[in-house]
Amino acid sequence: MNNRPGAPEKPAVPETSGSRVSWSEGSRFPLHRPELLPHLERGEAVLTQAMAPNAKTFKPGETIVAEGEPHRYLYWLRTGWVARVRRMPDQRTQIITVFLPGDFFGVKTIFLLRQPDALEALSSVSTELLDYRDVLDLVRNDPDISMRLWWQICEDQHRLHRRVTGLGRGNAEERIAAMLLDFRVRVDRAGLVSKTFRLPMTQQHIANYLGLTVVHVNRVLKRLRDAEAITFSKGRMTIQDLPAIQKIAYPIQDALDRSAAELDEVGT
Amino acid sequence: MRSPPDKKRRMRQNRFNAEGQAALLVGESILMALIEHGVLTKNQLVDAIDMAILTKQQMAEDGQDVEVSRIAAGLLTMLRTSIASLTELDA
Repeated sequence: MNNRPGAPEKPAVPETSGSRVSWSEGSRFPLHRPELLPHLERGEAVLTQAMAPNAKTFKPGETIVAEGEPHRYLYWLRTGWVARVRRMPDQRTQIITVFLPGDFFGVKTIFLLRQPDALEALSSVSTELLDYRDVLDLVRNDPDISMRLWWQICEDQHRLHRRVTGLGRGNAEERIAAMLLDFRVRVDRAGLVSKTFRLPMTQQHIANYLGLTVVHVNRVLKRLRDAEAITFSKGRMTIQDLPAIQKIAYPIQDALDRSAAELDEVGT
Repeated sequence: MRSPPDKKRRMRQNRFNAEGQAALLVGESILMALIEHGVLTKNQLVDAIDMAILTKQQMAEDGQDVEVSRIAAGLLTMLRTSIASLTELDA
């Protein structure tokens, strides 16, 4: 999402099919209750407008929020990818979650004196930010902003539920396939190109994200390439055989992921 | 400006790091090949790596190269986690 949305007076209500919400409209808020969409969109528009004067960019690898340190700002990710990272005393590293354009991150700053994990730029990143005290002032006067931040927390939690399942029960192929589908859908949601997308993660990043070693990541990616399911070159990932990747990821996916896959089938 | 002894030390350290990385990568590739060809099962390999982790942890507790032993135990733990997620195609 490269352009900030304006505050629509009468936002479109997404199409519904039974209880399922179409991804074609309001897809940035998947499976939302239709009556909440105007509030979510308005909350985002007002908050991002307040953040707009405070732009800040980061280089790949740069720390945005340091682990264990006090921090005052909440961010909106305009472009680039950001990772929440935990580094262990024996130098093991876990990427806990990845934020893509359109996400708010550092929301916990509102509540916490110190940050439990680091936030680091995976690529060149442009953000807009606001002091948590200004965010609190806005939230007190505008429930739509509160609702949008609440949505972000729910979305982050949903992503973590997925990852707990994948890391706890998924094998390496399932984890990698599910990761590719997740990023593909989210990149698409952010209004960027979907079949081929920029994946600004090294194999070491992917290993740290999925609890694998670099050798293992390389091995699985090679197998998927050999099967002509994907191509991955110079930071660009193409899912050539979407049904094959969906089939691999299926066991560890949730109902929402599977809905997205079914809609893909309808759309192709 | 870096002095010549510093440069020499850095080159030697890079060489050690490269040898360590190469050894770990080739070791892991061989382990995976052993599973793939049915020489060892995944569980047998995980047991063997567990033994190596315990050894490094014990070395750290005994005060032997404490920092290096801890990091080595961490690397072996990552290897164990990764091997445990091998697919049925490998096993």
